Order: sequence, then C-alpha cells, then structure tokens
Amino acid sequence: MLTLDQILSFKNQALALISQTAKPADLEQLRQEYLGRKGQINALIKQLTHLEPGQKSSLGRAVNEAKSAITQSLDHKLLATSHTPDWLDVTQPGTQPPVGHLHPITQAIDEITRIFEHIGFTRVRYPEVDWDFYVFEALNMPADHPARDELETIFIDGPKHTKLGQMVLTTHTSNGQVREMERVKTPPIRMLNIGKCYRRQQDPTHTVMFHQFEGLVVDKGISIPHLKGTLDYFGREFFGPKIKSRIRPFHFQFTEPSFEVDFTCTSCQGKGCRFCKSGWVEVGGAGMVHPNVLSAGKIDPKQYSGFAFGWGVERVLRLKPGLNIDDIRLLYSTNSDFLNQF
Amino acid sequence: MNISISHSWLKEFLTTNASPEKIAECLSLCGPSVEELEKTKDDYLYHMEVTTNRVDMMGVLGIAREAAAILPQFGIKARLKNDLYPPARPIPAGKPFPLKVAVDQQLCPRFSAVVISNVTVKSAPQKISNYLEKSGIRSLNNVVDISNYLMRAYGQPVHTFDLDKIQAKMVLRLSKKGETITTLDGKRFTLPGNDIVIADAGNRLIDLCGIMGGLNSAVDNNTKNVLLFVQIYSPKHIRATSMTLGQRSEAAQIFEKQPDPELVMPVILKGIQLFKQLTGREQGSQIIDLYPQPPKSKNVFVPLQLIKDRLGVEVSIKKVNSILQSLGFKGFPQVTVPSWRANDVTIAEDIVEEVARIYGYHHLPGLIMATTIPTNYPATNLYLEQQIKHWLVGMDLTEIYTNSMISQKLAEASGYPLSAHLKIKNALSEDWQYLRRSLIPSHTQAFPAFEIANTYHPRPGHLPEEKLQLIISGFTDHLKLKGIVESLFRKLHISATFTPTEILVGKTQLGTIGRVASNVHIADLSVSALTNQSSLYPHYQALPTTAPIIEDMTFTLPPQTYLGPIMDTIKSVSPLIESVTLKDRYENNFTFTITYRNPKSQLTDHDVAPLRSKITSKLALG
Repeated sequence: MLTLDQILSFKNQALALISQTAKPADLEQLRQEYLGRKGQINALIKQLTHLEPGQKSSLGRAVNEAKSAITQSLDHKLLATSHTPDWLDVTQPGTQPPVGHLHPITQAIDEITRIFEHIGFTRVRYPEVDWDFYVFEALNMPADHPARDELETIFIDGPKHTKLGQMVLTTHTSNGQVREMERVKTPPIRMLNIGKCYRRQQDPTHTVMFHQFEGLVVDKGISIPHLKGTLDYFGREFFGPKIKSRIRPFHFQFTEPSFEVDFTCTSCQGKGCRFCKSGWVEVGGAGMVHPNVLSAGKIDPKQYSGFAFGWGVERVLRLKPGLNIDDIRLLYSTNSDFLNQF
Repeated sequence: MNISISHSWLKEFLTTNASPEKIAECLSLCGPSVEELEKTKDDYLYHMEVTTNRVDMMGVLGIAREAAAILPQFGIKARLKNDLYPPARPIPAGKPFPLKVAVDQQLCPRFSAVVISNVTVKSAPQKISNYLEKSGIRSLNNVVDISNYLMRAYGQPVHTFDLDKIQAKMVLRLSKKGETITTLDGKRFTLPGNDIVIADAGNRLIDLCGIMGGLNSAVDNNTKNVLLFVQIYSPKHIRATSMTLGQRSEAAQIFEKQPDPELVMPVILKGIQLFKQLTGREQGSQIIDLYPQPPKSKNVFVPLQLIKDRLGVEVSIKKVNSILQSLGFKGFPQVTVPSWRANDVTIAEDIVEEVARIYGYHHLPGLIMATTIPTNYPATNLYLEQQIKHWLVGMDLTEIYTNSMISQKLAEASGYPLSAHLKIKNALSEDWQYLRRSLIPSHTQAFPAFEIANTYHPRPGHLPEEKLQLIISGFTDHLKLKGIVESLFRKLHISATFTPTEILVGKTQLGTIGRVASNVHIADLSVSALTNQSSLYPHYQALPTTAPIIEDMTFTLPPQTYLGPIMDTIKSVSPLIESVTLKDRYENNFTFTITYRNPKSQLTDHDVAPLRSKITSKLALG
C-alpha cells in the first residue's frame, strides 16, 4: 500500500540525485527515469487508482508536488550545466528591452518630493484655477497693488465672486499657503505644494505654463535659522554635498522679513565663473510668513510663526550640473530628440 | 525698480575707504542688491535693484544711508555726509508767488513751488553733467540737469516749468475723460479721465502730474523765469494713469510708491541752492508750500523677545539700538520710524527685518526645526501616480507635458461645445485661449506617449472641477495600446471590464479606449478612479497543489463579434475554469486556451468533458 512517507522519501532521493548529477546527458536520463511515460511518477499515479477516494486525493496532491519539484529541479540543473561556450564576447551590444522616458520635470518633482518628505513635509496639491483671494488678497496683496505687476496674471473670463474676487490662473503656488492653513486649522504645518502655474510670458527662460514648489512651515517658535537650515539641507540633497545656501534681503508682500535665496553655483562650486559671476546663483524667494497671511488663514500670529519659500521647478532643474537647458520651452514641446535624452 | 549710480556720486554722501567691490558685496548681503558692478573709464557704476517697498533708496542719499549702516557691521568705517534731513530753518522768504493756486489736497498732499528769475539756459557745469552721464542720464542743460540731479540724488521727482508760458493760475484737479495733453516728449494723449492734471487760466492742461510735464509749458532755450516744482501725489492716481497710458517714467514709478513728503522742502531748498551755484540766480518768489496735514510721526512697539525669537540668537539691546539708530530709527522698544520709512515700516516684524538684515543673515545659524511632524495628510494618493508613470515608462512610453491652455480649434475638438469651456480673458496668444476639458486634442505627437494632467470643467459660481486624467496616445495599433492598458491594470491590481464604450470596474467608469481618427488610438483614464480602484498588493492566492488541465478550443464567430463578452461567457460556465485567453485568430476562427483546475482535487478528463460541451452549447446559443 502506497503511503505519504514513501512519496516524500521518493521525492527527496530524486532531488538529491539530481543535485549530484553534473552531465547533461545523465540529467536527460534521469528525466526519462522519473518523468518518462514509463517513469516512476507514472508508476506512482497508477498505484493511486487502487486507493480509497479520501486517501487518493491527499496522496495525489503529494505526487503532483513531487512531480513539479522534480521537473523544476531538472530544468534548473540543465540550464546551469548546458550552454557553457568556451568564449563569450561581453563587448558586443546587448538586446535592449525598449524603454520609455520620464519627463525631466517629473524627475525633478519626484526628487524634490523625496527630499522634503524626509524632513516631514506633506505633499499637497491645490487648484490651478483659483480665486483672487487665495492668489493675492490673502497674501497681503490688495487689488491694484504694484506687487501684482510682476506676476503677469492670466484672468478667466467670467463674473467675479462676491467675496473671493476674480477667477485667475495661479501665478504661483503660494495660493496653497492660506488653503493649507484652512485645511490643517491648527499647526504644525509642513507643506510642500507642487503645481502648475501660469504667467503671461513666453521666452527662452520663461514658459506661459510652468511649475513651482512651495514650502510652508508654521509652528510655535519658527525662526530664520529654521529656514536657513531647511535651505542648506535642500541645497545639499538636490545640488550636491558641497552646495551651500545664503539669503539676502528682498521684499514680498506676504513675508516679513523677505529673502532672495542663492545657492553655490554648481558649475564652478562657488569659485565664480562665466555663468554665475559671483559664485552664487539666485533660485527664488523666501521669507517669514507675514502676520496678515497667518491671520487670513485664521492662525494667531501672536502664537505662531512660520517660513515659506516658492521656486520654479524649471529653475532648479536648469541649475543641476549638466542640465543647463538654454531654452526651457523645449520642456513643453513634445520634441522626442529632447525627451529621449532623459 | 532699478537704479544706477556711480561710485563717485555715492562718495559725495558717504565717507569710507571701502572699495567698490566690497561696498557692492556688503550692500547685496544686507541691503539693496547690486546686480552688477560695472567698471567705467574712471569710475565704477553700481547697477542696483531696489525693492518696491524701499522708495527711499531710489536716490544716492538713500543708498549712502544704507551703506553707512551696513559697512561698519563688516568692520569697515563708514559715515553718512551731506544728509538733507532735516531741512534748514528758517525757510527763506521772498516776493509773493506770482500764480494763483488751487490744489485738491486729496490728490496732492504736498504742493510746493518757487520761482527762479532771469535764468540763462545753457549747458551745465562738468561736475553735475558728469554725475548724470555716468549714471546713465543724458545731460541736457543746466535747468533740466538740476531737476534730474535732484531726482537721482534724493529720489524725489522734480519738475521745472517756464513760468511765462503759464497763464495766471494753476488748478490741480482730476482730468475729465477726453481731455488732451501733449507731453514734453511730443506724445499726445487723450486722457481716460481721473488723471491728476494742472490747468492754467486758459484751462489748458500744462502738466500730466507725476508722469510728465506738458509741452506747452516746457523750459526751452529762451526760458527766462523757471518755476521749480516739487510735489507729492496720490499714489493710486499716478499708478492708474501711468498704467493706463503705458507711461512708466521714473517719476511715475517713484510717485506711485509714496515717497516721503518730508523730503519736499529739503529738496526745493537744495534746488534753490543749485540754481544759485549753477546759474547765479536767486529765488524770485517766496516758496509756496501747501502741506495742510503733515503725517504724524509713527511709533512701533517691538519686544526684544520677538527679535530674539525670529533671529534664533541672543541679541543685546545695545546692538539693536545701534542698528536701528544707524538707519534713522529712534528709541527701543518703542521705536520711532523716520519719515522716509513711514509707509514701509508699520509692524514689529518690519523692525525685526531691519535688525536681522543689518545684523547679517550670514551670521545666523541654520538648523532644521525640531518641532512636531504633521501627520494629517490629504487623501490624494500621489505615490501611485508616480508609480503609474514609472510603469508606463518601463513599457516603452515617453512622458510628455502639453499646455493646459488650448486654441479654439483644439477646444472645438474636445467633444464639448466651445461655450462650455473656461475662456482666458487676456490670452497671450491664439494658441492659449481656453482651458482644456480633454487631453485628447493636445496629443498629436507621432510616438507612443502619456501624460497626467488636469482637465477643467466649469461650474457656475464655483471654481472649475479640476479632473486629473491619464492619457496614453500616439498608437496606430489598437492591440498594442490595449495591451499597455491591460498591463497597467495588472500592475495596479485592477480587474476591469472593457465594454464597447467604456472601461468599468463594477459600476465605476475608469475611462475609455478607442479610435479618435482612422488610425489614431488613445486611452483616456481618470486618475482618481484608477487610484481608488487599485491596490498596492494583490489578494494573495494559496499556491495550487493540483495540476491544471489546459486545452484549446477553436470557434468560428460571425464578423464583428465582440470578443470580450465571448470570453466572459466561457469563463462564466464553471468556477473550475481558471482562465480563458485568446491564443490565435485566423479570419473568423478564434482559438482560446482554457485552463481548468480544481484547487481541492485533481481534475480528470472525465470531469472536464461536460464543461467542454457546456461551453460549446453556450456559444452556439449566442
């Protein structure tokens, strides 16, 4: 009478024998012995027919398992022992699987996301078509304020909202600042808002549609050194270990104090070159969140403070070593010669 | 705003031994940004960017004041000289002012003027013209040069009229729509209305205030009597006129940023002095100065702790005091703001900025905040979007970005009426007039590509619904495209049904796949539906312990039979059918590979035979 133990020991013996056999011809012989029409497996299956139905199914499974284990083992061994030509040309071109190209903007966004998520930032996304309130008014830029001039705003044709004003295409990701305060309600906030922005300009260094990433940190006791630490960290991670940051005075309506942020030039590592002149390159703006902006987001500026920065993805991409793309309009051109490089 | 000044002119207001390079470096770190230091023949030129809040730095004096505060922080001696504040007292008297004057004070909070008689218009002395020319201002004649000198040296725009060309009276008022004026540069403007203008007794407009003077009252080579004119205007009006007419003169750019009214008297006195030096002529009238409401001096309370908190370092009261004093502020923690900073410095944070920047941002440490990390994330699954992109790239697709703004032609090709699109009010180009509702018309490229981008669906009274779509395009072979979509679904662990019109999971529509032109195939999928229906991990199945029975069945089907439902029908015959795949097709003959398996016990041909005939009969019934 066939037993489970018999089947298992048969399987183990077979596997041991296979592993000790080296010649392909011998392995072929083993295959005939075990798996051939008159082989041992079929012999076992024949024995199954004499068993009672209950036993038949459990032992049948064991035989099946033995069969597939022996088959796999033989296949592996054959693969390992056969095809060993005496000469291999590793210098010849390989058969490449076709592979596509991730857009450089996506690559940069992925990298920026990873960098800021490491230090606890939450990636969010806010409307690309937004009310004047979030894009300007809540950011301490009332109607007709000269600070709006530089933003080259694109307006949507349509009626004004009674409270929130005109509908516009976001000129910057800063519209996420008050929206994030409204979402979170009570700090801490560490926001990373990455999105499409639009301005009425198109030339080799500007595109009418572009991308920005915006950082916003709000909590108790947030200070200028926290901004500096975050900038240094980003510079090292994104541009390289030797890259430093510096901040210089500037003016934005929605931050006080406001800064212009420079990083060490990646072409000359800060020595000064034809491209940067001073050893530094300007990347964008930053500042300590203006109390009026916190108030607009219903956060008490007496208790909380924060910093914010917002820069162009295209800008930081171009400053990567080796990526001095002279005409960024190429990014949005569906030019395959360009895209296939990435 | 940009301003260029020469090193020699700066030294007129600043005592220091610092080199121009050092001055440029220190100013950029702590004050106005020196964008370029240009070496000229015998001088240096600072090309600077002045931020819009610091109109007080639109003159050499303001820059010198900054330098005098900043340089000592770098251990360099520097001292401000020839400061114009406060004005000399008493104000010199003179003959009665020859014109009647009526001024709307809302439009002109400070109106001052003085007559200089018997002037001879000729070229200006070398020193003045040198300063101007080196700083990029053309030297014309002594009268014009004086007003240009005053503006660049102190940042207060100044105008000069030919007194004898003005008829009896000056009325400063708002323009009426349609009134016309020809300005100094010969341009004729028909005014939109509500522009600040001056009319004379003949109701002729003689000045487009704050923008440019009128040609009819301009100083020329025959001018004898000059009216020196120094004012402050309502910034909003100047800005509106300047923007509407597109006349962005330096004067307009300064006036719209509200320069210091306290500067008016010192500048007019300096002007009188320059006329005396350059033309030898005294003032020919009293100084008229209509200044009914001088602003009160402003105080801001700043707790020392706030400064320490924001700077993140210990700062002494002594240090804070010395920094603030060097910039013209008085007292601490109750800080009196100097008149030239009255509009810019209004809250404690503004004072923090002054202390911080002069203290030096480069002296502050950098550290990542040690506060609580927020964990209340929004629900959007951005990670999966990233995964989708990477998977598609692995399947030989290239990612492209196309513009959200589209032409009328593309909007009309979207399947939505043109009127149901959001329209751009001030389109930069005909190519960017509407916000797209579909990505399909934008994808005209000839290679397999994909894009994840928003579509914009208007909702009356609300912001549009921004729907994120995944489009896979550039295929001429439907089956290749379909295969990619199926593979993507496999990676996302989505089992979807493809009906002739849509792709479904249960009742949720994932999107569509189809032909948009005779040979152009596109899949258009909703990213939120994909992410909602997907899971990162599969529902694990225990590994099979029984062997399957695999066999092929060939059927001849009528033309234009949808294959999906046929395969579903086969599959539905029995739970013992593990899978049905299409192996081969030849004309109307389709070979399916059918895998039978019972996970609990080994199937035999005996078990499969009835299933086989059931399949045949089901398909025969159609």
